[in-house]
Amino acid sequence: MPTARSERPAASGAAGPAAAPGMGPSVGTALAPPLRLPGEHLLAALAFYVAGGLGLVWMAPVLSRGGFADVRVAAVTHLFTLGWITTTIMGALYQLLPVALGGRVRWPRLGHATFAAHVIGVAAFAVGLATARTGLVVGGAGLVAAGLLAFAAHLAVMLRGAARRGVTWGCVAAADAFLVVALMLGFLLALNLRTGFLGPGRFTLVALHLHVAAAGWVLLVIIGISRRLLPMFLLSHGVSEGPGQAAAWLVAAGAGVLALTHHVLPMAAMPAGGGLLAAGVAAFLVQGWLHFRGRRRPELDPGLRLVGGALVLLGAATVLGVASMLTGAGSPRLDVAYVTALVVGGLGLFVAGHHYKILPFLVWHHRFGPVAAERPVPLVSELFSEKPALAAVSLQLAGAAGLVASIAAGSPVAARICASALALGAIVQAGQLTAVARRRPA
Amino acid sequence: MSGAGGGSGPAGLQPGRIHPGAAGIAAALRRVIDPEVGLDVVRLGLIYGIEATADGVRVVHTLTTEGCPLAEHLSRAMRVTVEGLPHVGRVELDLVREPAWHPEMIAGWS
Repeated sequence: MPTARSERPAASGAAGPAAAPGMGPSVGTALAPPLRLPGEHLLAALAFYVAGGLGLVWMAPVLSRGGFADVRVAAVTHLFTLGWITTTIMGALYQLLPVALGGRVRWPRLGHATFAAHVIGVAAFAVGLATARTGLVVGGAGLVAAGLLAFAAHLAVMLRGAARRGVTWGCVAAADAFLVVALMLGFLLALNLRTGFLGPGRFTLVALHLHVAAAGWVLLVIIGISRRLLPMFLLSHGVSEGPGQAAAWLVAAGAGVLALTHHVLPMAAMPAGGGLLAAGVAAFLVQGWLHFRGRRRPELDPGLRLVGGALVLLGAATVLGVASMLTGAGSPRLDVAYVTALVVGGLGLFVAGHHYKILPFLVWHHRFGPVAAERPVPLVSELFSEKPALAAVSLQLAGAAGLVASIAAGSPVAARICASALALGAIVQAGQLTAVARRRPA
Repeated sequence: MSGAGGGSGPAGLQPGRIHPGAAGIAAALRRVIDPEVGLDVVRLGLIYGIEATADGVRVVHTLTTEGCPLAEHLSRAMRVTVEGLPHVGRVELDLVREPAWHPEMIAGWS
């Protein structure tokens, strides 16, 4: 990811880049949207992250009792899944697709409109669940559905026009389809809150909705984008990418099996789909390990430390998930510990780590890069202070791991303490990155 | 990377050969830093050659990643840096894909 910084002012003005056979020097820049589009998504996501962290503090005792059926738990869960993770992915894809796939953001105004519908919808939905106002829940779910359906259609159009179609393209395309499936399942669950038409089968649908969303949507995007971002950030070019490719196929197959067969063959769908997902996650973890082991960067910055920790928690989530599947419905605390490890730890912290990389990078690219040839500018890592960031990373990693352990052990006090640590880390990170978003060249 | 003694200007250059001022140009390019990695483009191994042209210099370079979002900033800073040197003449930047950049091309890490 090379760019430039001139330590002293250059003597003359600059012309455009020279002709560049093969690589297209400005292709990412030319196709990338203005900072506002990804920026508004990333900042809103940070706000949801803080709200989700505080929600965990609030609900920690319920979580430690295995209270997955409490709708307030669903509220906090969606602050993470829809608010924190999905809003981040939406914003990141607007910036990364032009770079990674040579696509173009076709309709930036639609991007702003889907953003508005999504964030208002998620906020209304979460508040509605937390306060038991079903009208707000259904209204919020409708806005989320409208926003995400429009986003999914926009993403499909962007993918159709992409210049490069490889594994990353396939992952994002499959994830886009699973997003729509997860959305439909979620909307059914929201309607069920008012009508109860699903009856006892609602918990099966909750599990299906969670796994299609977490694996089919979020994990597939992570696997696909990691093929570009991890080598770039770690300088681990050249390591084998076979495990990552296998992970993409396995996770897509697992989510597909769950989505297509759970009503037809419910007894077979969960073991088969769950087994494929577990194998896919294992393959992705091997890929991540290969990148970290083969990195040329000796020091890990705060973002990459968080990513590494998130991968460990994703591995722990997989172990808990397999254990949960084997024990059936007999251990609610194990189920809640599993979902917490997956959503808050593995996926949530992976996203948090990339926030520390992507947002400062975007700000540098849009604001500092254009003047880097003429005057001194800071490095990307100098846009925020490292010590508070490292403290935030430690709080988040320790908080998430401790929360999972506290839930599994059934300790409400420990769960609340760990959730508080996580929330404090999220607040520090959000504060730092919000300040980065305001930075401009002197 | 092409590196040679210091030349005095574009007059008498032999196109396609190592630029006589390559060492000085390479030294100047060490002021162009990758803001994400924190290393200069020479040490990163992105500069493949500094060649003479009929009326100036051609800097042959690559990127760590295809479609790098910051390539335009890199090109601009390299151009401004080299154009700021005395007696260089016309500056061409030639961005190439082959050989592909690899981390082993980095010259050490402090």
